Amino acid sequence: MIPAFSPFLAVRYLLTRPIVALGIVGVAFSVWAMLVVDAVFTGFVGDIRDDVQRSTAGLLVTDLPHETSYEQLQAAIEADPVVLHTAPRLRHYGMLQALRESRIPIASSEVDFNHMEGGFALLLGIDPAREMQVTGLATWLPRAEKVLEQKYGRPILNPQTILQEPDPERLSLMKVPDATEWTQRERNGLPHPPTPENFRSEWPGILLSYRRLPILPMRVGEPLDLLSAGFQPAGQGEPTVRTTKVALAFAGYFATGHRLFDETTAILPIETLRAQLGQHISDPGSIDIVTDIAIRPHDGLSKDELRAGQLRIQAAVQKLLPPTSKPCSVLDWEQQNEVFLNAVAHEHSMMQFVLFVVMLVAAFVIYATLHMMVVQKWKDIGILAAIGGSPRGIGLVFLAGGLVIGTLGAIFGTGFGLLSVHYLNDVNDYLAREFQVELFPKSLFDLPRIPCRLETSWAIEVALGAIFLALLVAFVPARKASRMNPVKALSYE
Amino acid sequence: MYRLFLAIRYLLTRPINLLGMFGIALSVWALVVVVSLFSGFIATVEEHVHSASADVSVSNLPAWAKWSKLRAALADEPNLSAMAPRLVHYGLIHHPGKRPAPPPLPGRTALHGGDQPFLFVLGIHAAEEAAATGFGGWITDPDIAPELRVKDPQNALAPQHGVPSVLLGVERMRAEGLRPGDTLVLTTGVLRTAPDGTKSPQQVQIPLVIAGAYKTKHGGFDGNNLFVDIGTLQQELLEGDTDAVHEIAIAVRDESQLDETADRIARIVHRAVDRGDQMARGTAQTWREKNLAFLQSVEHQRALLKIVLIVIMVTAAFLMLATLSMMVTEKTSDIGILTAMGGTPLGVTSVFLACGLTITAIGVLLGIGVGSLTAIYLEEVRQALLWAFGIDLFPLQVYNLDRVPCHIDPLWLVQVAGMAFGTGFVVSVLPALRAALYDPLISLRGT
Amino acid sequence: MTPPVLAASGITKNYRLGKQSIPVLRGVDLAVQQGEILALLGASGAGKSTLLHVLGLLDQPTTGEILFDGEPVQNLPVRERARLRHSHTGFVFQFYHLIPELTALQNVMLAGMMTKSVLQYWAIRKQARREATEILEQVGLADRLKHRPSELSGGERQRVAIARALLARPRVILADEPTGNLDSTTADGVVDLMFRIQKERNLAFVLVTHDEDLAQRADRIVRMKDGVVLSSAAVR
Repeated sequence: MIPAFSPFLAVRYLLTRPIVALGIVGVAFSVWAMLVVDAVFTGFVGDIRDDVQRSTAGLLVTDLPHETSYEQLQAAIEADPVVLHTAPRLRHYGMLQALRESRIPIASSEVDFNHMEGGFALLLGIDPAREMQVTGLATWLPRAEKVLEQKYGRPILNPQTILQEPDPERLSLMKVPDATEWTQRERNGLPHPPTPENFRSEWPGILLSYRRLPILPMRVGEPLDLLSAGFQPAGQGEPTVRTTKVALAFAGYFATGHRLFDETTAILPIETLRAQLGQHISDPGSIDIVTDIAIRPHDGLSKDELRAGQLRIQAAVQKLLPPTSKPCSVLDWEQQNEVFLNAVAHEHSMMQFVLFVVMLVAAFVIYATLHMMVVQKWKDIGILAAIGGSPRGIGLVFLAGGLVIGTLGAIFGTGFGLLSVHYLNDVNDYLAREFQVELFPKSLFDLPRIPCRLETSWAIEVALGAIFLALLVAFVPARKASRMNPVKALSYE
Repeated sequence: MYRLFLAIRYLLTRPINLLGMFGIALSVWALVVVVSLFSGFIATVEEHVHSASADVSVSNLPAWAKWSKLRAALADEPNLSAMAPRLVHYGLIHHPGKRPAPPPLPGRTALHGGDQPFLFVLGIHAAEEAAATGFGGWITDPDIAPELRVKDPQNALAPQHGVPSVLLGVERMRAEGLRPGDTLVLTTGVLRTAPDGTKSPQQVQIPLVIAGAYKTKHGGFDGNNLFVDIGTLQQELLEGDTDAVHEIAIAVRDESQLDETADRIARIVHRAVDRGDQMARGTAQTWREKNLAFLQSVEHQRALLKIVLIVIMVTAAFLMLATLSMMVTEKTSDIGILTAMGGTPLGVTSVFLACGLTITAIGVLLGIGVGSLTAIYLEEVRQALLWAFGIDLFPLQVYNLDRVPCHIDPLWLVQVAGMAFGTGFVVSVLPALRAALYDPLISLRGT
Repeated sequence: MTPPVLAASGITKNYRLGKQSIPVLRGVDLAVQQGEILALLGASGAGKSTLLHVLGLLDQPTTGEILFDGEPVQNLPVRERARLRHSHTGFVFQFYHLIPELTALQNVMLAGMMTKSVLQYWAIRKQARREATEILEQVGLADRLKHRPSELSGGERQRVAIARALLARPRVILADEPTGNLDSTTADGVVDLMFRIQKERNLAFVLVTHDEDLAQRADRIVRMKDGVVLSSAAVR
């Protein structure tokens, strides 16, 4: 039973002590700091994760042996209930060489290979029609237009329509319009009929990352040579390497936002790449080789359902592979980006450690406030005992005090936290403009706005955590009070 | 005298003041440890990057740049101690008999590369390179297993039985199970001009034999670069032009004048390659400038953490303000007595100010002491945490480190102490002023 | 015959001071009947206040029994003893012991909220407020309800303390030198008030004092010295 006098007295004690305001402000401040700092970081990390997810298929069957055929696996994968669509993918590598006087600088020995912005490319062969069903390929092109417009303050690209090609044959090779290719042929001195009429474009298209634009500014339809190495399918003997070259037409810029993906990858038709690897579609013995199969799972699947689906698909695919081949993998989007996401998460956890220390010090503030209250109120404890207060009731006075401080601190802190998260960019801009003070220097983020994402669950956790912590630290003085000998307390001066 | 005496009495009889002290100590501790960790990380990264870089690199040279001309021009630079020409190209390496795996998924690859068959190909002149960079040390690094070492470090890139030699990063050798003497094929392309003036890329295949491994401290460099003799690239890619150069590695005598030297070198290079059309290209960058983006990203993180860490100090300030204010409240009757005994308001103020500053001082000393110790033994702390809770404080392998880096910057310690004292002073002055403004009669009467 | 409303038998109380055990009460027997005013008289250090604290269950005796209406109570659980302190006895102290943050009214109200659950907080509070107002009017403080202790005179503070002691309708009032801190005129007023209420409510009254004159107004005087009862005599 909680006696009625406990809250009654607790409120009176708190109201008559300005120092309590300090305790509340201390708690509110720490709650506020935790919300704002974490919101910025969650926003930052969240944006990165969104970008990564946007660049990634929901599930990916990978680590397949050489010479795996899509046809061979497609039916088995699509039979699984979690699978909505599949798309074949072929990863390879190559060098891109523009025919025009190259502005690709000579590669520098101290450039990190993974951030290559020159002629290297990780090639991603796709079937555009299928890929659009599985990933956001269709959104990557408008995104590049938007990103570049933001970066340069004016539209840089015309709307890119290459993926809206109605003719499935042309779409599958991402061919640029006939007239465009003819003009480019003429301009670059390449073989072309005298007039554009009746000319059919021949070059397959290639999509480059918007990040290559400063180094390799291209016009749609401009020819590019792709150099690569293909391997003759191994019979019994050694596989032999042979270099290959194919002419491609620049078909557009894309942007997924996933830095590593954008910096490394060039997207081209899978059939073009297959031909490079010795599997030309017109050869009678060729197969539709893939290195991966991208899967779009049904929407709204729970994590467990997806996990079960991954296991089933893995087993089904493995059964169809040659018995000697290594186990294949079925990865969700996070597993596909494991290394990158781990590095990002680690920075976030460092920040949370710091925030934990903030909360710890805030707990000390509550403790100090309440402890002082108990010390100042020794005599009252004796009085309360004399007029019939039970030890528990007396302890509860101080516990209630802690609860009120914690709750008010949490409410104010959360309130201000929500407000400042909402107006963070405005306040930051205002301070930067009027006083040249940048709370969150934009250069640290390299973004037009400070990303800011306050998760309701986090706000609730922090608020409840503050209240719980207040109760926890209030428990010590409360227990001290309840154990006080009333006679001693009465004679305390 | 009575002030200090009273201040110390007050503090000793109030254990709660320890809490304020502890709060300050905790905030100072966190500021010292976290920032030292990041400073150490930056210092280590810089050291690693520097170990794999020339002091000054001349790059972005135009195709018509000539080594003989540039060498003669640069010889006048007084701060230059050695220079070496480099040709830089790129290509795919392939081991006969093995099919390479497809390239890794972009988010699943090692963060600094090294696990794909694409590499930069550096054509160097071994003896000159050894004079201008740490090349001599890279091929004799004690971490390279004896069976992977270059047999004859003096002639590291000498052809073997007529086949050009190649040096690979030790991690790549280990990961792919390669040995000196194994053969590789480098596949690359080069833009050639046909007799009719049209340009088209031509494939080039160069058979190579592995001479051994090299190791710099910069894993990102080792994973992405291979060394061949400059003559090999001149022969295969540049039609035997023995005077071609893409990059110049320069060692300086006096590191403290690095930036000025780089500026002078840039001007020399511009003059030397300018054909009179003001299109002169060629840049001279210090090793720090070359790796600016990477180094800056870590420094940005440190700056961001500093902002957040200040929050701890503000919270600790609340804590001290609370404890000190309470002390004043509790001591109202003492204040009356002091005033009655002839203490001036200033004297009363200073008693409480002294309390606050003593708390701050002890807190700062404690925080800096324990903080420095924690920072110095951070690796041991990390291992203890890993052993006890399985929490890894810092992903060493991601950054290619063998222990948690730590660099305690005395200037930062002074800054932190100054910040803490400033905070301590402000939060002590407020209650102390309140104490001085008490009416002695009211405070004597107590309630 | 009904048992005494408050009785003590064979009470001893030792205080520990370091390793030494100092006896303060050395075997005290005492009984207070309903409606009786009993004065505990003795020099300071005689153990009067300690005996009062033991009688009011504020302190535990080392040995001996405390009986409320003939029932032993000193071994009841803490919570029960707190409840009895509330409902059976009321304390009045020399230094008033009012809670400085609360107004006169709130100090008295508090006594009405000690043992009731918080579940009907507002109802309990309302009732306590009504009763407290009523009783403060009885002690002549109708116009001082909103004043804090620091704004009241010594006599007024003691009246508030008396009102607080009476609120829960206890049957015994334990008063520890209730006039010790007051000038004689004020003291007389306070004593008159206490005895008037004692008569009206037929309370048992234990009055600890060293004032012979005040003791003479009691029904019975118990003289103490060095922790033992010297004499117990009715006042004529």
